Amino acid sequence: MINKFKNSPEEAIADIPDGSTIGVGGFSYAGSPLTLVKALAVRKVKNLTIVGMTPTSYGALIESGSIQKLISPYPSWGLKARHLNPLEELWRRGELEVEIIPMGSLAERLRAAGAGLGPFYCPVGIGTEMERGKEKRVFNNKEYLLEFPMPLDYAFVKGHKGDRFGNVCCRLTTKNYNPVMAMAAKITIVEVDEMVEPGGIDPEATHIPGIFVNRVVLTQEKPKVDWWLKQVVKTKGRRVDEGAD
Amino acid sequence: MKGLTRELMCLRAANELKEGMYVNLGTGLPSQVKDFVEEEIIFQSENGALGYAPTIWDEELMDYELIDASAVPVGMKPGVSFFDVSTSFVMLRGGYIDVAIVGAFQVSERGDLANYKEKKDVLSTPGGIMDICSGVKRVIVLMEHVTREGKIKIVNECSLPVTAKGVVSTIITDLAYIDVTQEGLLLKEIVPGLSLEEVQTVTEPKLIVSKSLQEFML
Repeated sequence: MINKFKNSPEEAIADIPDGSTIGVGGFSYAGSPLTLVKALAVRKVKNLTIVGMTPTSYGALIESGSIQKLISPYPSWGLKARHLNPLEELWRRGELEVEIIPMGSLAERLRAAGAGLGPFYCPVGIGTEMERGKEKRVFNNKEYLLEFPMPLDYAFVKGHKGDRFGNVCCRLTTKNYNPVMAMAAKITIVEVDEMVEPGGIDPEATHIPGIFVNRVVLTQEKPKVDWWLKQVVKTKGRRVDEGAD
Repeated sequence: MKGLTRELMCLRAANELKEGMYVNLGTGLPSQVKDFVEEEIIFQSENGALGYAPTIWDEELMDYELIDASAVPVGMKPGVSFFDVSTSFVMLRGGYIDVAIVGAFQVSERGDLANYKEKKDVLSTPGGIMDICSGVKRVIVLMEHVTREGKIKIVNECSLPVTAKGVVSTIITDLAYIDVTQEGLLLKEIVPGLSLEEVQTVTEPKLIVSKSLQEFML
């Protein structure tokens, strides 16, 4: 019988070696696999390359000193929250390498890796510091930069429901990077709010088909939303995080 | 210099939007524009939502799994859809979005946008704004005319790292409505009680005054 369910997050992440490249899904707290991230932080794995959108998703691995390199469109997100502060300090001291990447280019590089494609030309970043080190080419009078696929050793994904075949459905705005990360990784580990029998997910609402998923565990970790709620109310929703104002 | 309140700035920006348009809103002040429209305008959020409802203010109803790209809790309404970032950036890069309203630290005379890095030693990053500017049909900047310290933000050349080159078509501030044209910056609207000279003193490039210059259309 096929069974991708694992008994604990510890079991699901037990084989991840030092130096792995791991994609972490999530945008702010939505779709962030906090249980898996925390379990890995406890294991004190070293020299990881983390690919992910916001520190709210992978913050525990910053605190545990597990990250050598961060590849992210928005590493400054939510740094006013005390538990995420170490990121900027580590970066200033040169102890953490940070590579900035445009949000959509990251999505497409992950997808290309998952889809078996090679490099592709993308117009994003022309005329900016993102051009640095990239091949530039003109097609039909428009400039493009050569972008490479971004394969992952592991992906940490957050879903709402999952079955033992690895089928996953996601709630509301929690999909974000989760499906493309699941495609880009050799091993995809998903944490879900609810484990269901096959058939327990509407086949028309299977957002990540089981073929992309290797392991499924139950979510244990809830996000620290109190800080976020306070920011929303205090700033009337205007300035929840860093960013142009 | 007495300018529009932030609410009136949002209202002026909202007046640019027509029924049926697909619109992306940047973080900060632009994200509030959605709370100032009455017509059916479809807002797109790069984290993966289309046609969502305005901001939720009741803490009881806030859901951290239903947010816009500013991580502000938004609502659902019939016709809303959710998707992943790959699909989301097909909409943005692929030219499906009519208007993006974004904030800025600086805008240049030629429409260069600088809106992600205030200082060199601060970790400040573009998120999705570069992708958005590369494909959206019209980019409107919504910002205060000068910084809190009174520094000029509409400049000849951006001194900050550029987010995207020559993409801005309109600048709406608390003081003025300015179009970026081939000839230069065209001043079209001005806040009541402000003189042309006063606007020019807080704007580095020489403004071209429109023949049909008028008070803010609110």
